[in-house]
Amino acid sequence: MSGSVIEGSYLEAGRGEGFWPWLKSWIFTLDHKRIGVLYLVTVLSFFAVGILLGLTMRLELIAPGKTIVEADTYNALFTLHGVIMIFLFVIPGIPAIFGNFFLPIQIGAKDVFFPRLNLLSWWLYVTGAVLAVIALFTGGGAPDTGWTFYVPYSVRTSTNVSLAVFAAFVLGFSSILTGLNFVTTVHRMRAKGMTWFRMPLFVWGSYATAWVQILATPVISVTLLLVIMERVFGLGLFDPARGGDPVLYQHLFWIYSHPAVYIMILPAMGVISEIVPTMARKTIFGYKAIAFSSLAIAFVGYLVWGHHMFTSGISDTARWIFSLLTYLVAIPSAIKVFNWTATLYKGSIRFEPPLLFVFTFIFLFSIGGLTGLMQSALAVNVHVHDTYFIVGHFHYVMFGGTAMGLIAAVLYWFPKMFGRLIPKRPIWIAWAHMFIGFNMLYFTMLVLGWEGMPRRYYDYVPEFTTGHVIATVGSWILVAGLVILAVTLIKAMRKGERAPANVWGGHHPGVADRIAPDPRELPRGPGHHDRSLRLRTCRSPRLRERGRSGGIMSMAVAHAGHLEEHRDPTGSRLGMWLFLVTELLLFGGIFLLYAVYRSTFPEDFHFAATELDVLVGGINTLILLTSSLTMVLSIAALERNRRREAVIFLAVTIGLGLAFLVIKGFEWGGKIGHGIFPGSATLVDRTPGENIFFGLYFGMTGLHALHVVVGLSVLGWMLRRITGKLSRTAHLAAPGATRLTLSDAGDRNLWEGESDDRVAGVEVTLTYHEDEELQEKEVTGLENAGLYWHLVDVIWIFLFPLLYLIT
Amino acid sequence: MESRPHIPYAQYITIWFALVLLTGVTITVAGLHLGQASIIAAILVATVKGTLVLRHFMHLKYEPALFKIVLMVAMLTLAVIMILTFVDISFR
Repeated sequence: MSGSVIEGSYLEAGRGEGFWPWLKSWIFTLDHKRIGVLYLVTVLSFFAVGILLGLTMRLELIAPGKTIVEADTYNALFTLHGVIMIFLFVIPGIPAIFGNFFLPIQIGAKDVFFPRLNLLSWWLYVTGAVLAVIALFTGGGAPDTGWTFYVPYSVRTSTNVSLAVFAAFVLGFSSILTGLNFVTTVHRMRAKGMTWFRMPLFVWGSYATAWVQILATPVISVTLLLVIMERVFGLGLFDPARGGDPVLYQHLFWIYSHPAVYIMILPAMGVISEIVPTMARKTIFGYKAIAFSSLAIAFVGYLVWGHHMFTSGISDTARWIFSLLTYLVAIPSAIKVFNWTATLYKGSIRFEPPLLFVFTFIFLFSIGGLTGLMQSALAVNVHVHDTYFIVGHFHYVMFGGTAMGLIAAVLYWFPKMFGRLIPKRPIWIAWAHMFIGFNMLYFTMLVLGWEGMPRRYYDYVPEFTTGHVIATVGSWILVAGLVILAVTLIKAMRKGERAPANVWGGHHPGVADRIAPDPRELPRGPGHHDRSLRLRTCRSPRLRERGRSGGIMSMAVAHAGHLEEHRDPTGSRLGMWLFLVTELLLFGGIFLLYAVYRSTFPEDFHFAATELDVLVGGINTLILLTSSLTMVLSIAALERNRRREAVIFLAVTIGLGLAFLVIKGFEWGGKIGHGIFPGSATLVDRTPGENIFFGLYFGMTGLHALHVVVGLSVLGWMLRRITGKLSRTAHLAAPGATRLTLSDAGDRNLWEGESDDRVAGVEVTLTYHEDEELQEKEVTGLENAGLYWHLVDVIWIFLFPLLYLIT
Repeated sequence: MESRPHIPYAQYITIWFALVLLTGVTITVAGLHLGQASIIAAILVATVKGTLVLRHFMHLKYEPALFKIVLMVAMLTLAVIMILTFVDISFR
């Protein structure tokens, strides 16, 4: 970004100090804007990789038979294209880039609520991406299952599915952390006066998305973990030969992956809702309708996953119910489109490049939406299922919708992020290429699919050749447009004309305020406090009639450098509760499996459960309940500043946790000693239901034990932290010196003072007393660790009767 | 925590006694082999125990309404997921 930096901007920090300090200043930054830029670079890089894979696939398909790659390679190509585009591009895309950058600014907050978690989220994203890349070249080679990892093939294939699935799991974790950070930020860090219905609509879109991230992602997490467990331990939960049901995997997969479609599209809709009123120079039409439709889409998105499974053998009742429910999604989506259109009506429209891409979004998304609506109808769906029609449809939604929305966001906010203007002419040229190429590529796919071309096929009958040639040529034109766009943006970043403070003449936070060129926006750590907040009411006479935000805002954050920062224990606990909710849903996925299989094999479950020792399970229950008591007593003691008591209670909690694990270990050992473990010869000879029961027993208690281990690690860390402050032995610095210093376990300098004792070498034991603020932080930390521990207990409270008692 | 009072140790110990007692109840009921009723009893007792831990040990009782809504939304989501899955499983 040489030459791009405007003096004093957030982009400037770390420059001139050499490459490594500069790099470190970026990859360890806690500044939400810089984390947004980190995501911008990484997400778009993977977008480029995904495009290259797509191009290679298209080139292979230009003629029937082998063209440039073998069939196996083609399988790997479409798997990777899907995994990269879904997990590394469209899901994190807009929320991680623009949500991070603009959400805090738009609500008048100094940063997100958990800046460190935000950075961790980016690192998890990078880790997941690296693992996915490693999966290509290790194990049995690149995964060839398709991005859906459907069983039973994903369990049987020798390709490196386990690592790829684990990569997706890590990426899901990153997505969850972003979601809980945004929800907590919106609830706890809105500036005074930034009421719910003054929030910019991009914030509403990001908020609704964050909820889907929190509530849906854990289900895919446990599903992916189960695939790994199936591959490594052979639990048999999805293996029909052992009583498992592969269709249940599809349920679990789509319970996440359909709502994930809304993780992808909702933020893009938020972007459109920002750009349309600014460019129309009007207040948004139907602000509340658009805001609530985001929540409605998020909610209805949960009810429709079954339409991905109409041909998978689900019941007829389920098919018509899911078919009916699927139609519902069209309602909130249409509310948005109609309101955007109504906003443009009689507006003083500035036809700038962002609006061009907004129109492209509306046009292409409408085609994607309507072809989706067609698939709600069972009769149509059965015919076009797994054909190119589906591929064309979701590319109209994902590329025509989300990616065009992302490009619109880049064009709209680029001057704010980098302080430079983008030349318009090359954008028009890029757009023309993209629009023509896009429709040649994907509309042809719709036609090919309607004619019967199946998706994921390496070869095809000669009748489809013309369509494939048109689609492949279209892909070249589309990519040419993307290249022109990328070159234009990079050039603009380096040498573009300096942007004025308010490029588009809007009054939103994030548009009207100064960001990149503002020297006050230097990177900051949590220690930076600048609490003064000034909000300015800037209602124009034209807006007074409505007096509400959205579009041209009735309120703008006047000075981005003077924002409020108020992180409190309640917000911290809210973040923890949101995390606990994801854990509950993670176990919820496996409880769902239990419920289904129990209803399928009631007799077998009854018989198998009698083989578990109620006494052992009962003792472990008492141990965990007691550990919950000592945990809460430890917190109560710390609240009263009785540190020694707190330490003792915490140590007992850890001891009880370890005892639980030891007993569980003996119990497992006993079962394994009797030949009862997944895939054992003893179990194979028994009924399918018993196989499934023990698969669930090992899966559920194993996952629970893993949580106990994580909980114990957290508690151990808290114990060290509190014990470190219990008392300290301070040493005189040198003979005759009187200066004493006191550090905690983390070597933070907590106290300095003079000693009366002048004898060299004498150790002085000091009892440490926290100041109030530090103590509050410690109690909050212990409380959060305790919440996690109690959750482990709550889960066991249900596991115990389900596995040991319902006989 | 700013609004939460210091809760007496005795209150926590009472809750623990209740949890232990309920564990005894659930084991005893399971031993009676009541068929379907034992399943309902076990899940009911587990729900009561879970609620006690959530409300008292996890201090949900003292948290703002938002925390309860968060938990309810998660439970509702789980319920919807279960019901819709059983719409398939039960009618196959």
